[in-house]
Amino acid sequence: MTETNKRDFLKFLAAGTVMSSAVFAPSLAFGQNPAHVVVIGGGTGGATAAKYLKMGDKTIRVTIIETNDVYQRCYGSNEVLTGHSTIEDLSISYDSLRDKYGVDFMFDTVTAVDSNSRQITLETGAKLSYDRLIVSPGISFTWTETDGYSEEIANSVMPHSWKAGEQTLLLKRQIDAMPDDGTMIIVPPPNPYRCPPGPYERASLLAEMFQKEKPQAKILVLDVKDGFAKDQPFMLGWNRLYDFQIPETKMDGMPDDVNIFDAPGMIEWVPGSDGGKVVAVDANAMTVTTQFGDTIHGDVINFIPPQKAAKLAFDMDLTEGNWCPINHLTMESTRHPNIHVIGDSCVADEMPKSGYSANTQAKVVAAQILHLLHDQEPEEPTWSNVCFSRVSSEYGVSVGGIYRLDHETGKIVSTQGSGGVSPLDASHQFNRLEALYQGAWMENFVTDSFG
Amino acid sequence: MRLGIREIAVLVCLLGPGVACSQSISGAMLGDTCAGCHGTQGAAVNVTIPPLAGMNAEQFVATMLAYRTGKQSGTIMNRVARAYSDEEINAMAEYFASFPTSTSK
Repeated sequence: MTETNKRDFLKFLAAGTVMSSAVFAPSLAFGQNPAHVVVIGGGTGGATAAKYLKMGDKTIRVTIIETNDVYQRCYGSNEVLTGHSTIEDLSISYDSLRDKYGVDFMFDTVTAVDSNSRQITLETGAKLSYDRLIVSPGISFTWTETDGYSEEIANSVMPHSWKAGEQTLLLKRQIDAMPDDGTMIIVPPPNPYRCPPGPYERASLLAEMFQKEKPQAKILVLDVKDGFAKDQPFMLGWNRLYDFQIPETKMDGMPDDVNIFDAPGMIEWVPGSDGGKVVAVDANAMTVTTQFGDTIHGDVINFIPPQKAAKLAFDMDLTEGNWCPINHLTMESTRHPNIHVIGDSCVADEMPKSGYSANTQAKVVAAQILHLLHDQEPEEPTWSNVCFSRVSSEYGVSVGGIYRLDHETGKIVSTQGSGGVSPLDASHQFNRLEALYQGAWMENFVTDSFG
Repeated sequence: MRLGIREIAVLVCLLGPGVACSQSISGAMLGDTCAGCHGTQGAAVNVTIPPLAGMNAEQFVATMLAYRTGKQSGTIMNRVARAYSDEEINAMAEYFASFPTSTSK
């Protein structure tokens, strides 16, 4: 979008910024018509917000504006790469939200938002007004930070597979066609990004598949970071299952029975401090070049680019830097009144950018919007995040966090003394159960968010 | 309008910075963060993760306290239970007890 277009997009938006939220805040007390909450984005955050708004007060109108009439979830997409699931398994219908909860849908694209008159214009020309607007647009990618890389290369040669759909299938085809002794390179993105343990679960499940189908294959993880979500539980599992040599820096707290290997096993992880940062790629030669100057060939290169808020968030002037600042009590944008931002796009401090985080942010925003529409004060919020990852189909690890609002700083903070990752001295049965719970979580989580 | 305990606690908190307050969180606000795993209002569809809907409040409290102290070992629940005060566990117990017992599919 050009600057001129962006100004058009925001034609009236700027007027709203000088006014306090309270001036414009609509309330049910003054209107005859039911309040209307519009949700832009029908992903996990938007769907959950719509459902919980209708559960809390079925008399209000809730409309989701979404481009696609079927949602494809990212969580569980690593299992499509290994053939444990199909792309159809990732598809979620909006029928339940529509039929069971009475959520309205417009499958369309937003072209303008006027925060002064609280009106949205869609690509088809349709217009709709809102009392409160929830924006849950997800992420977009930064294509320009690595020499030789581009969106076109991601769509043809080096898929990221970080949004489920065609990207997932492209990477799967490449993995299936990889020579039996081939090397797959995974390049995880810098923080912050969607689904922090995702690249490492991907390495895990592919290692499990390669052990059976391509036992000579290698998975090389070239990381800009020196650590990652659940890194020690992952590495312990890799050590047990895939002959992974745990680096010295990650040995603290490991149980006595870890295996010591002379050579890297199927998975090798190179942290940023050892030259893991990839600074250039060559799509013709199928190579990556690291910060330390090594050029490495990969038969499959899964380059996951750096991330930022979705384009819509930038177009709507909701961003500062790469993400959308919000008032964490109400999840309302600090830049424009009556517009609330949730999910991966928002700044949520200590919360990771996960589907579970988006789900609990959605419940907080739904509760607070219902209070505001009823002329009540917002209530004390709390959020949580739970994430199970599979190191293999029978070995799971988890992370959990319970989050609260620090009223002094206005930030979301983890509750002290709680949460964290699976213990390193966990029993075999513990990890078996966490793999089992991952499957149950998937079903209950999708139902809580969409059905 | 008659204020409930939750609203009064919120009002006290809103008096301003520096005012010490318990920042009491409602049972619904607390309980809805459990729903991602245990199902909406505790009505899990996959009961490998136990449904909480209609659970006896005393049993809920006893289980959470046992997780919190480590007397009972779970997987993630010990780490989760340590985040909550007695008052919060009681509020969640009442919230989940208020729903009918769910039936699995």
